Amino acid sequence: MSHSNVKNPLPPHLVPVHEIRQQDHLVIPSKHYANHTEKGRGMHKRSLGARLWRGRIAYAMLLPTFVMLFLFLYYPAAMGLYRSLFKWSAGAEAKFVGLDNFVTLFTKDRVFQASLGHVVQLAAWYLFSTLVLSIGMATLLHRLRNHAAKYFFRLFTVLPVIIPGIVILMLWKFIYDASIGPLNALLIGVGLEDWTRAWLSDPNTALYAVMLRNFPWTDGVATLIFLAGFQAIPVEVVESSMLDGAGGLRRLWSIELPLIAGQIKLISVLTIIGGVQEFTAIFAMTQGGPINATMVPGMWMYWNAFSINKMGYASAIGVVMFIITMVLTLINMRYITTSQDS
Amino acid sequence: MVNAAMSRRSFLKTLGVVSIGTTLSGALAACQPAGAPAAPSGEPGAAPKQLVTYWGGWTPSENMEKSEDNPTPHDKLTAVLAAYMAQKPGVEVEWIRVPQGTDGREWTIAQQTAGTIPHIVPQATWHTKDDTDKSWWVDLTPHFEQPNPYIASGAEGSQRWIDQFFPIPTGETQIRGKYYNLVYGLVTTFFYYNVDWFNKLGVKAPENYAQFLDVCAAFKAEGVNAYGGWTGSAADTDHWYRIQLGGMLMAKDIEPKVNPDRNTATFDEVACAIKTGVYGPRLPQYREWMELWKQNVPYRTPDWPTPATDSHTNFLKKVEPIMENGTWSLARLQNDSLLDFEWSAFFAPTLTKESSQFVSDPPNSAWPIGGAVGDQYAVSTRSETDGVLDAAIDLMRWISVPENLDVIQSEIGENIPNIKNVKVNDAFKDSYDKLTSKIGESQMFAYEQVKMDDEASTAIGQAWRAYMLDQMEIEDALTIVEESFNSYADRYMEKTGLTCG
Repeated sequence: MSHSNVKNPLPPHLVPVHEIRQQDHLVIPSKHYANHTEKGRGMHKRSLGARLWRGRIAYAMLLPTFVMLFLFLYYPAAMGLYRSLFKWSAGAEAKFVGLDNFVTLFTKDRVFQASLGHVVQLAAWYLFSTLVLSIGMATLLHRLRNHAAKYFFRLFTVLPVIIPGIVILMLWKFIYDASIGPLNALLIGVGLEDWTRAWLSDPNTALYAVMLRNFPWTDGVATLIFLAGFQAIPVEVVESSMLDGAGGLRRLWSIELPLIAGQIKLISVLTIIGGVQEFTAIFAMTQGGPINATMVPGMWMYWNAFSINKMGYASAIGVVMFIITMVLTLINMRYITTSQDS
Repeated sequence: MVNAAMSRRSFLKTLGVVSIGTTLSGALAACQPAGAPAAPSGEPGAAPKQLVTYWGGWTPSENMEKSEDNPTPHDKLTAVLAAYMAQKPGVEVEWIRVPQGTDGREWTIAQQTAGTIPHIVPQATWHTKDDTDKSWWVDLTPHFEQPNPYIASGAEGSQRWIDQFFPIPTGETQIRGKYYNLVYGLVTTFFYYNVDWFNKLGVKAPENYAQFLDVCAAFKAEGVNAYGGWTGSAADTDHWYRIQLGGMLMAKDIEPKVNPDRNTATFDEVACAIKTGVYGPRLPQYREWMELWKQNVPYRTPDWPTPATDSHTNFLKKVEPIMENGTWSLARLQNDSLLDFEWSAFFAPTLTKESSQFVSDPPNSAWPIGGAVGDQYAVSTRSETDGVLDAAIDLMRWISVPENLDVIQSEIGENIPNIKNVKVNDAFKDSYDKLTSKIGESQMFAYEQVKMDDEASTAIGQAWRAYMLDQMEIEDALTIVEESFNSYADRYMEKTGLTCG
């Protein structure tokens, strides 16, 4: 029997899985280790039922979660896909129309087409602000030398995360109020009365008002994730780049950012998904108005489903949103590579 | 050590089995139909019938302390319901509260889809007309033909329940000859105005549209945006005066073709008028309607496109000298102890030859907006499924007793009663006579949300607002309106099988 040069921590009668394939002699592994065997070597392969029985406890523990996932996520999604092929109002008979809903969406539904443009703008801004500003904030936090200051700024960057989102939306709705909002009051106070607007009621400004809420636009959670990424970079790598004469920006661009590509990928994917699915801010602040100037696919889907009861059509909008999200995510995954991917 | 491993294994096994069991039980329980079947009342030992109700504006206030956010605290409904339950021990009435700000139509569709709709809910007739193919609402017509047992013999309602209601406004609520709604309130709108401010500026209450614009211009010269009001959703109208203006434009030449008897404009009449081109956005009257209406936009506050602007507060705080609002504002104004100016109201100014060539001379007065559109309720078909339909109808008959309705409505003070022999607030007397003897907005074939469906009315409303906000040229807006008109007519005719001669 051959042995690896690496110390084998296992009892003598057991061999690690990776060595099994290398041997000519048969080994019957302990039941605590993989029972995988090569075919044709005459070893007894357990049946599927036996393997399932062996893992019954694990399956039993997993089953409730997967049942709930199926019932409340996968089943509704599948039904949404199915219903998108019907002209269906709740309470009335459904009529199969094939792809008619999708054709109508892209050829006749001006509101939906405009909503796609709006959501692209929103998602682009969210991506920019979340990546650039959060990375910037994380960089500054990472480079702070004083631990107390680092702790203080890190804490107050993250603290707003605990405030319910709807509270922030209502606050910004008040800030934007044409009559009593602080924004207009501030503009009047500094002599810029001509700049005052009915920010959420003016179709020329409403989308930007929604987009630019949450000033200064840093995301506490994203900042934390990027900061953790920076902190995980080996000190030797950074020090050697400094010895090579790399300045702060060069170090950031050439060393640190590539090494946190995983975090960037994660945040990008989540931000894109959140942007394409934007609904809450629109619902709370403008309801898609004025005159659909802030309409997004999520809000349009909601309106079609629950205001005019066109459930089949709304399902089609949902399917389109899913496809868009999937495509953008795949593009993101393809073009942002981490060291593991390499 | 071995024992501990065995114990852990047993524990995990048991946990897994319990998890599976709980999941299956939960799934089975969730699949049970909602609500236990009601036993027939009157049988010895029968379980009481449980009515679930939602009363909309009648829902008791969360607290009885008057404040800016709670201007008309009320809770007399509970007394009426308690009195009902006292004499009907076999019936329990539960009322629910819906979060403020919830859109009524969205809530109703969600509840009906889920099967959790209460047995009695607020329901507008203009939404009921879109639901007739869904078996959501009980046809009340046969119940209306039966006597109301709570009315004394010889009084109106003792032979037929429907005799308690004023026939003209109630007749307007029929949908293809059937009643699905119980309408207890009549409403209309006025232009409330700040008399002191008008006097200070030296202007009088306008009588026609040209004068109305002049008054607004006079205020604008002083830096005041005069024309305030409640902005409806895009599916509704931005201000009700828009519909009245349109009606006056169409009265001479178009209305006789669309609605020859000038009675209730039926859905069939409107759909056929659109289909045959008798009524549509390519009419010169329609174009002029849009152009005339846009003339008052510069006199509104910049946030007017925001739905449900708080025009009442703006009026009280002297931000706006004119507020177009409904009878519901009257109670608030009368009860506001902080009000420190004299106010009055004028009806919708007429449209004269000075403003348009399409009107008659002398001019037609505006359609009275409103009518039987206040305190509207419907009985859901869930009550049939749950075996409580009789109880639901009986409760609504109890509410229809004049004394009971007066208890509820007089405390809130917002609507005029649509039941005979109920006391009427003196301030409403004039409107009461008009609304009980004349057709209201059911005559308004141009009122999109009332005479079309929400899909069409929303698209039309958005096009109008885009034009008013200079986001769209009038031609483009008219094209969108035309598409919406035609698609509505097609949908209606497909749904009903209507053919137009």
